[in-house]
Amino acid sequence: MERISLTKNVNLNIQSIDKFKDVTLELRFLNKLSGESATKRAVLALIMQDRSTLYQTKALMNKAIDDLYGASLSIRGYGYGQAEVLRLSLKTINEVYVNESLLEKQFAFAHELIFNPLFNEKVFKEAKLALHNELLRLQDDPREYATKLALEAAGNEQALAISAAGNIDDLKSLKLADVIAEYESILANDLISINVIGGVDKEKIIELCEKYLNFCARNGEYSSYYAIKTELDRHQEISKTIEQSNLIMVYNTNIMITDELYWPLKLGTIILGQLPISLLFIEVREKRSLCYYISANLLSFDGAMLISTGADYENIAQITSVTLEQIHRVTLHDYPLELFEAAKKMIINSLNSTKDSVSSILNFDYQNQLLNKEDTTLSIEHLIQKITIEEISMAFSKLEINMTFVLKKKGITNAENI
Amino acid sequence: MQKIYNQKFKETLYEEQLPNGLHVVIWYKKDYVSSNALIAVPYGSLDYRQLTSEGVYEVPCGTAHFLEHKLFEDPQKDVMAAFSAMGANVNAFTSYNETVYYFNTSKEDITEPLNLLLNFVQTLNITDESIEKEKGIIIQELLMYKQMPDIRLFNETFSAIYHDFPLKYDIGGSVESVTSITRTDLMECYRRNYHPANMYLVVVSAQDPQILMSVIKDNQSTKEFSTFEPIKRFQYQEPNTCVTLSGKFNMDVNTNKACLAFKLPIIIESSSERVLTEWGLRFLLEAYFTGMNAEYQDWLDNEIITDYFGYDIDLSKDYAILMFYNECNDITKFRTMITKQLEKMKKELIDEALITQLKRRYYGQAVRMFNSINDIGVTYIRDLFNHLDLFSSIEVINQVDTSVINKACDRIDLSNSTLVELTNDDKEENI
Repeated sequence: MERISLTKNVNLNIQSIDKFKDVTLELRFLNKLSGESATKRAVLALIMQDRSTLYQTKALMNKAIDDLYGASLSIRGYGYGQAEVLRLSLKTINEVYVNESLLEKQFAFAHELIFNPLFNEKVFKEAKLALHNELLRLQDDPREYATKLALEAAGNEQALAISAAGNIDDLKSLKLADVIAEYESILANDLISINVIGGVDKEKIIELCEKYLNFCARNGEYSSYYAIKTELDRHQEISKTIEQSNLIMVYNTNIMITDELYWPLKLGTIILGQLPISLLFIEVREKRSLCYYISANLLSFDGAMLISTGADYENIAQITSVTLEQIHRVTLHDYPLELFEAAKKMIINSLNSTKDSVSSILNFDYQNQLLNKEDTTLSIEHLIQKITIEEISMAFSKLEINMTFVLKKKGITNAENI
Repeated sequence: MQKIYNQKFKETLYEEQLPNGLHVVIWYKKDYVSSNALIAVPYGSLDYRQLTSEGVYEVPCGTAHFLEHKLFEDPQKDVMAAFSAMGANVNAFTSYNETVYYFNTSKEDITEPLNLLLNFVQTLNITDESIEKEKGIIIQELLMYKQMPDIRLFNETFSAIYHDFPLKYDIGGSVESVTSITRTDLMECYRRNYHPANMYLVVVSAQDPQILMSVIKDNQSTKEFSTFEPIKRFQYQEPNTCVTLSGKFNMDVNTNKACLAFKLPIIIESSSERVLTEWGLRFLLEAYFTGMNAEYQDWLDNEIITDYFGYDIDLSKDYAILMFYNECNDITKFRTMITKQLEKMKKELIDEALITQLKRRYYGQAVRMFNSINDIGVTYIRDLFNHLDLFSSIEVINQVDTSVINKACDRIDLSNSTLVELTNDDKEENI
């Protein structure tokens, strides 16, 4: 993507490309992640998406979106390690499919959403209730709930423990004035990235940014990535009336996303648990029929790895033990060479597929922005091709078990040996 | 092979039916790096009872889904590993109406994974031992879905609606039905349904369509298949009434939910009439039950609904349902609001401006669907199984006008309904 600095810490990134049938305009506002700000921003996102001073009812808001041919609008917060991003995405059909000028309307609508949110007690109350309901809903899904609880426990008051979705305790005491103050702070202080992808002309986009997305210069530097440090080997079990128990194992990787061992760690995680031929899938599901799903995933900006499965409680101890064996196998490079080669091919396949999805292109590019890098899918592919089994082994030897968490079926006594 | 170019959406595809009956579609996406190929069989969970020339053929519920799991088995080679070695992601899913096997890859030449997809779907090689092992995995899958409140709410609603029609069963079956599935069931189901004449291959790729078609033809020409005996879904004599007028079930949740569902008469005239009626109703429901309607704000403010509230309408050739779902503690208020609103919807005329607005919305959304190589294949085969082609199913939206909407509204009979509640009877306190 081509980068243009509009003013200090407000950057425009453009990719002019005809293959997609829409034009995506996206803004990302970056600041430090904290529990309180996450909740404020989550409420703010709901307010901004609901109405504005020009479109004061849902019907008017719907009409504005449909004037843009049912534009896809999304505003929400995301965590990137120690940083938080409020992301506004507005996708509108490319003008060539409708013979109607839409680009300027798209920018004008984004301007209205960003600069003229409708702040009043009624809208605030509704957004607060909607977030409250959303957070409760999340707790009703055992898999999501188990992950949330495991990360909170494993995070040990660090960024890993904080959800960008907000939290119920902070929500209870939240006032409209707090949200307005947060909004004003975002406009004045957050680092802003404006991203545009689609069949667009660069000069025209710059002109529209100057007209509709005119932000002041700002100072500030926010670090996003880190590698979590905690007490090790903690265990926690919580009961709920559910059909299946959920096991979440959180590891400290001790490797940051910018470290040399990051890509070997990523490859090792694929070998461990991201493919239908990965060690966990083969050993836990296929050979022992203990679960339907089991996977390993990196939380790259936090320096953590998450292993997650759902199973009968009486099998949790066995799954934990088989999982530990598989991690040991990766460390000792005791796995088929074919798996190593396949993992490389799959990660390269995934990198190449980035080019076919607007959201993947934007996420890839934003990661570059956060890490202050200019990686391309090709440069990473070259890096991956060079990774050796020994490097994977070195990366995995740094893993330390942080937390073993079980959300178990109510009425079952605790296991002794997990 | 026949080339089809759609000027409006700027999309190109090629179609051909091979001598063995396999229907092949190659969708040419010249600027895309990745390819997606799928094989679809119109055999889903609703087909556990079928009609053959010999009479009724029945297997345990969940057999279609079990078969999907077992098709990946090949004693000669590990299918998953072979796809991974080629740099391709392979997966499958079973729905009510179809089973689909697919892969994605960013390889320039997809000959190898395409051949592998055709070969593994067109071969079944299973043992009693492996079937028994798979049961444990599938039962864990069923338990996983059973603890998801939204999925449970819909499944319980379907059970409250249908006396006989198999929508009342989970796609994967039950622990009991899965336990009872045998090798014979799977082999027999496979023999009867997985014939090229009953299969559809859709490839979405930037690779030369002529080359891809010759790869497919070469693959198929080496294989022999017995004659396909037509097979149909069993026709149920389902009563018009629901099983129960109301139902309730318990889960460990923070928020109570409810689903008010109407069992509608099936539209039997034609697929196009059915699809047009469904669009007509969708326009109406959108105008009366969403933020397009000013009353929606009152329902939110008075806590009759939450932002979870929504509706779904499905007019299929075998069943027809209209559902409203909500998070609520007062189901009487919820029911009263829906009933009043439906009565109003039947009496009043929809504003022309809203029709124009919705046409713009759905047209824009339909065009954007062509961005995703994964969505194109699935949307294409679902329309095909519905006896429509993808482009005309989008064009139907333009036919919606006041007369279509009024006719659609007149057709719906709301006299058969059920209200299903999800509550937490053991809840001690609000979190």
